[in-house]
Amino acid sequence: MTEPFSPPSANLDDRWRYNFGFLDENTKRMLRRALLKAVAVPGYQVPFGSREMPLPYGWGTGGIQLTAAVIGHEDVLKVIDQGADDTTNAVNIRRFFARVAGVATTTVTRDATLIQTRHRIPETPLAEGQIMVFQVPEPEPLRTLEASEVETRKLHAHQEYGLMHVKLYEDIARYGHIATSYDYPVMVNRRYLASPSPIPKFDNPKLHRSPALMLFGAGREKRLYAIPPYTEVESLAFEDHPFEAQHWSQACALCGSSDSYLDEIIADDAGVRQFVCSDTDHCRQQREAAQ
Amino acid sequence: MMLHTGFKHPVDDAQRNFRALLEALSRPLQPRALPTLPPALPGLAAGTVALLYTLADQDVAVWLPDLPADTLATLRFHTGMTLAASPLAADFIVIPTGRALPALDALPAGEAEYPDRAATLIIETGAFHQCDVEASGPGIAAPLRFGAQGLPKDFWRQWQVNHARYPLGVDALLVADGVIAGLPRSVSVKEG
Repeated sequence: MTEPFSPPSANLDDRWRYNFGFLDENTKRMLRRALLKAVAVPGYQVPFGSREMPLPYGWGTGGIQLTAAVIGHEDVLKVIDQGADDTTNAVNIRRFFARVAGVATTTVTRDATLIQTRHRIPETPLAEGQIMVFQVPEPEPLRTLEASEVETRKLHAHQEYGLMHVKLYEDIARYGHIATSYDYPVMVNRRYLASPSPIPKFDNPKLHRSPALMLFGAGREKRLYAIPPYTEVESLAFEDHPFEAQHWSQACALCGSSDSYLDEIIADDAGVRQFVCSDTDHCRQQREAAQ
Repeated sequence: MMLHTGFKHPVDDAQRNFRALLEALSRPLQPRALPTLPPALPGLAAGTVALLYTLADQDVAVWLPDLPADTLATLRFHTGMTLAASPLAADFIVIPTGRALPALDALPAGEAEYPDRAATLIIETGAFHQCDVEASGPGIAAPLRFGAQGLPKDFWRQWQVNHARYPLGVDALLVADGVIAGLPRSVSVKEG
């Protein structure tokens, strides 16, 4: 499950060697300085000079640049895509860093020091010292409500978030409940409205006072932001319509877990449907524990 | 004039020190040692030099007080940083042991729409202890006590003013030789 550290020189011809972690040192320093400001002002989106990466925008270029700026030889990297370690995006990003940084990789959440994620937070509780890196498509939670960056900056400066409350209220007026189920907006440290990236709102409570450091990178939009450990993260709601995460009447068909986030999948040509854990590492652990 | 050596392994040493720094700032006032120190320079502690080698380059203006020519030449050689003429025009402001600290409220604190455009102070202090203030804020699980020898008497009062204008304000890195403590503007302190 855990691949050991191998120095890049051992498996790469010298002609194909990149700087450690792919990015050049100037770019890493620029990202590092931006990350320090992001940590100092939790939830505020810091602009940065996003670089061209060897994969298109939308495939995690923001997350990859942040990972490249923080990763070191001592790190053990886990990469997940919708909770799974074995999907295309996850496999390729993990292989990318094994190649350009030679770091050890793992699929086991508690063994990882650095976890890059596309749209899930692992079910295994995170620990102090771990760093989560989120791939963010749209860092601005107000963007669908206000197209202008000049305007959204002003709204953040004045902490004027009424628009978002109106949007949630319209959900209630139309559907009787808040229908936003992913990328559910949060208030960070009681000051900045932020996008938790398109994680299901099931994962929002895991952001609140997490012992791990959370870093968010949006490559196309050239923004990064952070939630330090033990920071208040409140999902927006109303007194009479409190925040509520999804829950299922089914349990996972593979491991029987009843408290994890479930994906609905079609199991055969007859259209038989199954609910299984989205977090493959959690599902495997549950099955191993049951045996 | 003599140039001093920098990091032994520039890529790895900068990465490891940055991780310590990131941890220090995301868990404020919880001191940690910098993992690899370059040789100290005349007038600057090894920890301060390590932070400058880790963070400074040609995109950054650093304000330094009067320091020996060797020190300035070495820093410029290893980082390419520009020297700011005044703390008001600096990204990083370095206050070595015994030098006067400029008034915090006069320093670049960012703009309402761009609070990230604020200065970072690197302040050399004596040993850290737990006697001066009780601190709380993001990154601090339960209010903790902190103090540092050698800070000006009114530093913590100035810090309260700095925190009061959050999200604007300066951020500080306290350096006690090879040990650092992060002090982002999000931290609020109570004296006594």
